[in-house]
Amino acid sequence: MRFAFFVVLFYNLTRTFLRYDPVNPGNPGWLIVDGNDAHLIDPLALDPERSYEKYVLDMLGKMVLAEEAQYGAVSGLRLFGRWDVSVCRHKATGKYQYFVNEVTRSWDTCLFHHHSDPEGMGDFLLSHLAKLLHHCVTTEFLRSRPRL
Amino acid sequence: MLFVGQKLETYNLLNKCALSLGYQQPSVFAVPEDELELYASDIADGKRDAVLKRTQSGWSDYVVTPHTKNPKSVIKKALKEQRQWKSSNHWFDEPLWLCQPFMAQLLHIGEYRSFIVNGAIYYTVATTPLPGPEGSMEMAGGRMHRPLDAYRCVSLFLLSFSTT
Repeated sequence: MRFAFFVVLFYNLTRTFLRYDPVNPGNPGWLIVDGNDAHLIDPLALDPERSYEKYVLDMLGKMVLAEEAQYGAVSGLRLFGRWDVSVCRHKATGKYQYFVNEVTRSWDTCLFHHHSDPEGMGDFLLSHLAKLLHHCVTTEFLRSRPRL
Repeated sequence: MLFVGQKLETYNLLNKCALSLGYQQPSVFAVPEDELELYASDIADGKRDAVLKRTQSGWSDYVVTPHTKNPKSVIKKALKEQRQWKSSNHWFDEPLWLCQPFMAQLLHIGEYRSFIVNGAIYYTVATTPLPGPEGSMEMAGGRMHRPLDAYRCVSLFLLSFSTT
């Protein structure tokens, strides 16, 4: 009984207060999940097909292949890039989906680096990038032929 | 090889990639310089629900949206600067103006900017535009938008453990 009560309460709360959809109130919306709660609420474990990370990494893989096929040179996205992603509604299905608004791969990427990330990954990023660039320079990676 | 600021080529590739994965991507096309003012006035009058943006630019510079004040003067000023582009011996090609649909979600939800090194997402910064001068935005780290139905499933899943 108590379980059923909490189920109904949670269902109503999430339906009523956490919905975000300025266009169509009947459509299930989106919710901001704080990084601190990620260990408690991890939708990746339930629905990895719809996760943000999967979308970005799928697009990255396709983009590397497309660039290298078109230009015949190794894509710089293999090394580094900043992907700006937002949400839009699919025209045919009416469901929300991610879309890439911009891919930045030059000095513009530092525009948001001054923001201190709470997970402290900035230092790891820089150290990994430094090692990666050193490897690329010593092996002339960007001059090599693209390969899978 | 792609050079810095070549947005149209990047958008074309992104479009192909999104279609191959079953997603949709906003369509982008180039606008000739002599039609830019017409497009800008159409956007200001609400006849065209679109955004004009320029290649070789960043931080919301050279962007005309339906909320831009005096879009024609913005275009005129940008074109005046652009005519000095060749004479000043720039390294890059002359910039190109692009038109894409106005995405309200970019204003309401904002963008997630993921830094990817060697195929791994290191961290993501969520930015949302703020009212005020153009380019001002709120930044937050470690936040992610998730489909609400997924959250609902997880909450019920956790609850079933906590009550038994």
